[in-house]
Amino acid sequence: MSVLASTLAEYRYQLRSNRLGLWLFFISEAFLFGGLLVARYYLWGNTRPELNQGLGLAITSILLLSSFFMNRAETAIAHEDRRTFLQSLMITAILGIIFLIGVVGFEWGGHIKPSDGAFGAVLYGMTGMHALHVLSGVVFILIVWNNGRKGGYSAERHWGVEACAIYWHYVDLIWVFFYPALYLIGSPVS
Amino acid sequence: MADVTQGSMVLVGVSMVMGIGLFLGMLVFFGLFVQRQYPPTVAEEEEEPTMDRALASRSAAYRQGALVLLGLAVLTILEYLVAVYVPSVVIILIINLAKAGLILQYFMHVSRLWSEEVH
Repeated sequence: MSVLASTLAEYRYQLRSNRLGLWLFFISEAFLFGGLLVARYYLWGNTRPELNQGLGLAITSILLLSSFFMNRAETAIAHEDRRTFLQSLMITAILGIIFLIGVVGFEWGGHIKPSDGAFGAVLYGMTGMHALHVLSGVVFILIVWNNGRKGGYSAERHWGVEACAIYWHYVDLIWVFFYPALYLIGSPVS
Repeated sequence: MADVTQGSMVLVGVSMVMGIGLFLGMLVFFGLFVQRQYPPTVAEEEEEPTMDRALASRSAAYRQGALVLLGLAVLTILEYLVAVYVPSVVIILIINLAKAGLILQYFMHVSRLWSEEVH
């Protein structure tokens, strides 16, 4: 086996191990978010607090849009389109920050406080834990953007970008289940 | 109490089956209209420069992302309308599962876990 083939085989093996490791991490995280969802359905039942529906829909749309730009960034680096890659990453980070402002700045500034019984505890627990993941995702994106700016990724080797993208989509995936649980399911109680 | 639990279990089961069905339907839709990439024929290979093919492949990949976003947007609006006009937990759960399926398949590339695909 030539040195090149051996290096490529090693890289492939490493890549598969990395992917598996990342998905195992997601499974462990799913227990955390799953626990929060169970708490919501157990404590709130068929009720929910009166929340700003427009804000909920807006931040959900922003997160979905950010996922599109993250996917665009990953596709761009896989096709050596560096300009689109860097632009899309930056847009994703900005949308992530807007999402955080929507949750922390506006939703948390509403009439429900963390001390407001089950409604407050579950609302702040779920949005807080999710927001923490969004924040870490934004930091991750900015690190990848900085590495990308220095030419740290190529079409053949960009595991860092792929991991960052998958992590960001995972955060989006969690919100797909959190959004209806918080805003849509159950009768609103003032 | 037992009836309620049994009812909930049936509800979750039906939602999951319908959600998976909806996701598979969308998978077929996207498969038919997005990923229609056939290997080039000998004549095409001779005619078309490699650069053009690379650009076409890139455009197709960007288009797929845009279509998935469109699908997610439509499902989110549908979910909101269902919650407002027909507050049905089953339908909302079905829509959720379809959205999750799209994200897992097209954005998170879950199938790469059991494939030899590099990048």
